[in-house]
Amino acid sequence: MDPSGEVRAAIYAAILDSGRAPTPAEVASAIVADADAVAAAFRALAAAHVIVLRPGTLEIAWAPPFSVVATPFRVTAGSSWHAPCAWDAFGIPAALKRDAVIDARCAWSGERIDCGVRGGVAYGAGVIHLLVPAAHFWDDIAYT
Amino acid sequence: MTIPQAWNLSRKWYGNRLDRDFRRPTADEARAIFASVGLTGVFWEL
Repeated sequence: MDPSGEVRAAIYAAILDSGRAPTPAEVASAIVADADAVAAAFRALAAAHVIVLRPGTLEIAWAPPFSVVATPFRVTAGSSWHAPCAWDAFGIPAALKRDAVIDARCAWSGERIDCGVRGGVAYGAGVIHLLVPAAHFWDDIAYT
Repeated sequence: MTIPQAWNLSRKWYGNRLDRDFRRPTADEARAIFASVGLTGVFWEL
């Protein structure tokens, strides 16, 4: 059995529900699956760039567009979550199909940037700078 | 990218992320998504 789909769904469900990432054991319990198979699914999802693990561990840092690590991009859409980056901050309302208020900070000045999605339309002033070309995003996904 | 571009890109990139049958876009699909929101040029090549 390839449990990656079920595991992915369980990971996102936990993050949506609690804002924290589940461990492989918690996912195994939630979907009634073998813990080793779930751990392998975590690794497979990371290798496929669906989730991002802390180096050398099975601890989830990101399940894009959600981050369980605090970032300068906080998104409120009913509940609140952090996003890994400015692009992903808009990914949260896109994934949830909800409007959202995004509390972002300029990476250069630290200045607050008000933006979000209202009535299905994005608002806010600013430009999102990506530092690394698309072909190299996953060389070090934390530095894009 | 501008904020409207980020929103349009996010809807195409993440709109199905929570779906049961989600899969990541292939490289060709990703190129098409980038181009559809005006993200073209060497920077967006895969």
